[in-house]
Amino acid sequence: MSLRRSLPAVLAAVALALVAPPERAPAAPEAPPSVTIAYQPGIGYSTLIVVRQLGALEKRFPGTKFDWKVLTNGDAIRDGIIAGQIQIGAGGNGPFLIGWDRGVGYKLIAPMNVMNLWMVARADEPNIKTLKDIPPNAKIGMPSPDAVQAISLRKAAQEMFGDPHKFDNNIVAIQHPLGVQAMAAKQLELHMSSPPFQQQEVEAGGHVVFRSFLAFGRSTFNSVYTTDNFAKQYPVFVSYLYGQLRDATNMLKNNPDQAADLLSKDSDGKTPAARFRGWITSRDVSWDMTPHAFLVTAAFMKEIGMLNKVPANIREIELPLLKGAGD
Amino acid sequence: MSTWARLPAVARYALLVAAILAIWQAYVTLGHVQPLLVASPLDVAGAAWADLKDGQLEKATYNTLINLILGMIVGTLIGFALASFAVFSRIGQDLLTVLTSIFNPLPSIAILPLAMIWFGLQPKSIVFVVALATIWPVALNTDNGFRTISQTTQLAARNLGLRGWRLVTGVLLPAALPSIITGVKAAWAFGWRTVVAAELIFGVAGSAGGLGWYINNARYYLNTSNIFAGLVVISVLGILVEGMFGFIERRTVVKWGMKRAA
Repeated sequence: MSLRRSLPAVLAAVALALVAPPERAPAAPEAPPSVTIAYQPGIGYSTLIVVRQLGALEKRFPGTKFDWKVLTNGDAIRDGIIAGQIQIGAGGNGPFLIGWDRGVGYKLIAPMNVMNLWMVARADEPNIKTLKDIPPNAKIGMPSPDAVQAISLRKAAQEMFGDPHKFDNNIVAIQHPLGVQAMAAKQLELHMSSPPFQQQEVEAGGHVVFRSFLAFGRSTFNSVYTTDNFAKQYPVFVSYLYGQLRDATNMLKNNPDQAADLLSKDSDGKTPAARFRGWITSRDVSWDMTPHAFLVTAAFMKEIGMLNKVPANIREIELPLLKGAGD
Repeated sequence: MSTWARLPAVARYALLVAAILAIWQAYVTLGHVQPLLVASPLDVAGAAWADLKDGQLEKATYNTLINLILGMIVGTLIGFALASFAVFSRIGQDLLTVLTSIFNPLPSIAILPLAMIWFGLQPKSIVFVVALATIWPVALNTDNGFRTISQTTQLAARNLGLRGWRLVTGVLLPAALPSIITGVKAAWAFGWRTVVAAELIFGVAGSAGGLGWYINNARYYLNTSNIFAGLVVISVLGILVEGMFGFIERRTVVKWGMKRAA
């Protein structure tokens, strides 16, 4: 068949595909046939790791195939959600808010924690004591230019130097574990990561130059989120997951020994439970399911052009499960 | 001959490009595509214009081209040296055979992690992988060019008493120019892909970031139209460089009757 003859048919098919309504499942099941849950390396994801280790989701929804993925930055997880390959994601508030602003159509199921993130300078850079001492050509490693680390640094730069973008040219996008290596190999002068990487760098002789709480106060570090569509289609699943996250949060808070055992098991025993216990009970870490400082962070991001709009209130970015709590 | 074929080439290409752009724009506007996934040509033009106005896109392009040119200069010089050495000695020939067998099949972007350990998170690492991508096509094609020079030419040159470096620059290089240009063209193609890929992986932000970084940065901020704008720049530059090679060929090897015009 010649192209000219088949062209109308092709066009008709394309038009049909464009206007055809999405197919609907006949009866609404409680849970999808398969679900991918993605999180990142680090103590900030302990809540999800505890949920994973307890295995209650798998028991409650035996018909669902669970795929737990560990990706190395929040952007990758957000991209996976946009592409429909990840249903439940977890990450920092920076990439989350940018995705919300650009219309990904997702909301918080629950925040997991509040963490003070440290910018650590290498042991052989004793002259870098505060942000003021950072030389113009110094490299600062952080997971991505839109990560919460970068946003709190910009906030501090605005307050201290009147220029939020003062350090933008110093930022090197590098995932946490590689950043620790790059510090050891003297390729980075500074690294802003999260627990336990920041503690490991201090143990290796580094010193803390800046802390994220200085920017926005006690603020949420990581949250679990899902798309509006998924939450609408599988409310039973999402609210069960919420319950699991709450139980895991309580365990991390009130029974750190048991949580540390589970985390150690998740690391295949490579890291002893005692180390995890130290990290999850650290002064700079709290297990807290209330959103903290989302709105002030969003306002600052809009002010420096990272967002086009800000949520008018917290309900715009969280599922009703959280009952409008937090800021 | 159909009406289409009677049109001048430029008009045919322009019409096709316009048709593709129109279909693309219609797909985005009428198809209710999520703008997060596909940007329309108008959005892309707007994003490109905004970043051209504040100099971001020029700076990224400049950084990419500098890395590419430095890498290609180093790679081409080494490639020439290897090929020249191979013409003059048996061991040089063997060395070229061994080195190209080892390194030519290796995508040089795979060396980037190693380069990052050696040279750090600096443009030096990118220049290094670009050089590595360009050495082998240049060396292989130059060597091939040297070897296919006719015996008559070579014997005439030797009769005139030319040897060593003067033999290379005076006779071998011009005679082998068609192959050398092919080699440099292949090197550019490898180098161009390598430099963009390296910049994508290698997140040096701000002042040192090239087009690969520009694209990746746009992805971090979910600015899909900027991702497309970066791709358009990469493609347009590619077309321009191809055109430049065509120009050089017309001025040299085609003019000298060593290669027929395409």
